[in-house]
Amino acid sequence: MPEQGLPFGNEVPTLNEMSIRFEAGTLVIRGFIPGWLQEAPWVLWDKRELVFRAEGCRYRDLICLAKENKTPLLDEARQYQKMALSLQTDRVAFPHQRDAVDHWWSSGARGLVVLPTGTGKTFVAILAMIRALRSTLVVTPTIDLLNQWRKELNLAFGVPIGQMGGGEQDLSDISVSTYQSAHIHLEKWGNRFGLIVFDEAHHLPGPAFSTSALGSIAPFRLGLTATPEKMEQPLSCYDGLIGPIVYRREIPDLSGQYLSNYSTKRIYVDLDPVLRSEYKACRKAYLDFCTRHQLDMSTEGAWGRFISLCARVDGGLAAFRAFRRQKQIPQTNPAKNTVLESLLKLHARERTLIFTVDNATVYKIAKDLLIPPLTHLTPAKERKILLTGFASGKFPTLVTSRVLNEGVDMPLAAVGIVLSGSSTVREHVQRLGRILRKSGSKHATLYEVITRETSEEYASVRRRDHDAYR
Amino acid sequence: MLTGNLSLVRMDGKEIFPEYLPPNAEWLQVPTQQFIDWWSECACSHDKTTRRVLRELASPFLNGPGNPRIWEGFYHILQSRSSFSEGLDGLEEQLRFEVFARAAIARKDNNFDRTRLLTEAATVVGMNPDQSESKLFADLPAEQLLMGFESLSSERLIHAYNIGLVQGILLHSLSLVIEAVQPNTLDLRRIIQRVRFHRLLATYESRPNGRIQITLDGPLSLFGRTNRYGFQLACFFPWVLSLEQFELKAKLAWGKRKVPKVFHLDSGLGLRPVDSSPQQPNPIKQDLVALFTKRPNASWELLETHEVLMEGKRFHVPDLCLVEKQSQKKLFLEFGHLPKGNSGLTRGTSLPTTIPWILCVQANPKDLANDPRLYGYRKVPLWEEIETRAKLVLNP
Repeated sequence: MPEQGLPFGNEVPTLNEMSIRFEAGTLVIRGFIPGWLQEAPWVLWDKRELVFRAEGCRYRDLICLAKENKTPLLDEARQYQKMALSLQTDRVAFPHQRDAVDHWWSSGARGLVVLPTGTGKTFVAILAMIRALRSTLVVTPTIDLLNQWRKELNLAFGVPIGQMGGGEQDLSDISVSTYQSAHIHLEKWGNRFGLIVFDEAHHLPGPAFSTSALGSIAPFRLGLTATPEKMEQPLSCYDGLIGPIVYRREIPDLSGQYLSNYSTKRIYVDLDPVLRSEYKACRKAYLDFCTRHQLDMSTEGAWGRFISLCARVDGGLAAFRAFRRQKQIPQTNPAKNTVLESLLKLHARERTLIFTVDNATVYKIAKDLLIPPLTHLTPAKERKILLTGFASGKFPTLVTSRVLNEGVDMPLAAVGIVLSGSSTVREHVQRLGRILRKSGSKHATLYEVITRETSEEYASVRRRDHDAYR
Repeated sequence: MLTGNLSLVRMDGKEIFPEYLPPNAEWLQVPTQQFIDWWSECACSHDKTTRRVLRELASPFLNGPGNPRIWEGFYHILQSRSSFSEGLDGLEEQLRFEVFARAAIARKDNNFDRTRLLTEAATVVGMNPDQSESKLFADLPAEQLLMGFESLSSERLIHAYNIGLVQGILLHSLSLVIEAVQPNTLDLRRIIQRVRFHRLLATYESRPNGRIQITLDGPLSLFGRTNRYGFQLACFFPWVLSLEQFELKAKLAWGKRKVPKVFHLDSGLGLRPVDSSPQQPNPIKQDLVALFTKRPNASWELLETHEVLMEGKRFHVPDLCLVEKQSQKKLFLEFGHLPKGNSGLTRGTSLPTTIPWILCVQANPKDLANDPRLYGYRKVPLWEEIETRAKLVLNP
């Protein structure tokens, strides 16, 4: 039996009282240590300080078990408030938004709500906050989204909204943060919020960002995403961080009434004979290199080994160049530009987003077709002007690689043209989501332009493995 | 200068040790040489490479042996030795908006002609139409083209890396004490001139056994402009390495919590400056000497000098010596810079008090103290003006 820790903090626990305190993303448990606590697998004995410790996210379990076992408890961990929150607007919830919050609440106010882009996930979070009535932190992946959330929350509740990220560190009872800032700072203020909302929650299960969920004591947790599936990770990866999926609706369930009607079309183009033979030669050189070095590129970590070999062995750099070129040829196939031009003519009066796999292609299209590019390199001021111009119709077409994949509100976008992309389902669904937000009687169309008999065909099949494309 | 993630150091108690790389280690030399050769190739290629593509193409090298951050450090150094195409002061942004807006209208009107649109837009923003295509995104750092590269050997790259680690550490310094052991006059002059050139705050002291101690303020001892001052200190550091024998001790305030640490370095470690640093001839001084020799002067003799003159705890390094023929009195001339906001200099208090001296600086005379020892000239110093001032200084 380990030695009992000494009392600490402002208040002193009695001999019959268990005490918990928040410390750097963990809970330190001292004072009276009941038998049930020692049996809990998530409570560890910390030899360095002679105390019991648990991750911050175990706060709720700890409190529930203490209540269940009638263990007297001195709670010095909790620093969040009960709040009086009411909606300051006359916005009425859609049935799927109400259902989502009901399901979340009845699942113990923990879990993931999966709704397609454009179906009002932000308002789901606002309804959840009104239900939970606790200090709330919203975590978002980008500064753009952080600003969007801050505006929406301010409008909904009419109170000042705190911000952590984008150079600001100003906390209030309702605050927004980026994943990056949450990862850095939650060990300090992980006990200040009773509800934590993870927007675009598919970013959470990584080794770095998940620490923000593990280090927070928030008993109420809500994750929002349109695409929870992560390659090589089961959906259970969310369970310990936010909770399981509690509500899910897909694009076909909501299109028409809450999302625009849409159609998806695939257009195949050929490589000219010169490019075709270059493509074949480069692909062969790359694959031969992989075979020679027994690299199976479909296995985990293969990419890292390939890159590392390229720098070290004879012929490595040539193999790397061949790899890049065989990727580049189908992506930048000039025939795609011809198709693109005809599609732009066909939809000359509609707002169009062109998606490519990388920034190099974005800038090539921007230069060739004189279409404004929007990438992470675009200066903030210019980005604002372009987005405003897109809304007003001054710049009716934008070309982008990934910055518009998620989050940013563009209700008028009606046509999406995927010139190239990765094989991930999530990216493809997010891209479709960009053009689905309901706006009048808009009919959205997503085109996919694919170079025939290249690796693009395979990538297209993989990324369309989703109900939205069936 | 390697900072942030690239600064690889280890701590031992209060002392900080950079993770120096061995310059002659074979496991490093071969891949670094390959990296340099590849970079040179990109720089010389007719198809210019943008920063973004350069970064992508470099990925195999960034996974070289050892810690990947070492290779990031090499990348950083190679990049700093490269020149890239530059933007045109915001004209590119104007050009883009003009081109894209016109293109959108033309597309709607079924009237899209790329060349015409680029030409029209360039004319509107006042740019040469031939340049419009190449300048469309030239202001975005990632789109800048690699234009040149000052190559170096793998051994020098590793030296540059080690120097970069020290420079990164010195950015955290509160103060810096450099002890030059029996420096020769030329080395000492050079160090003192560099201290002044980089506008560092320094005091000098002559110590026993021919040692000269230079105490410099660190960037963190100042309240403002720490980045700029830190950068100047980092630029100065390689000059210390040109001293034959030296010891350097720095007091640091490390990390966000400003934990007190110390750093120590001496010449025994074998750090070498990467670029040879010949004394740059001073064009103003050369012009004045040429002017003087053109017109014979009965009253004055002008001599080159390499002296280091001491006055209390201050050292002075004159560029020329002027001798009054009749009295054989000496007066020293120095060609310096006028740092912005250096009130000491504008008041004339930085000048030697007991040594006859004239400091010539390119500045508006109105900005300087009314002192004959302080000569502010517009374009070139005038010999007549120096002569008049010299008479006043020597015979007040």
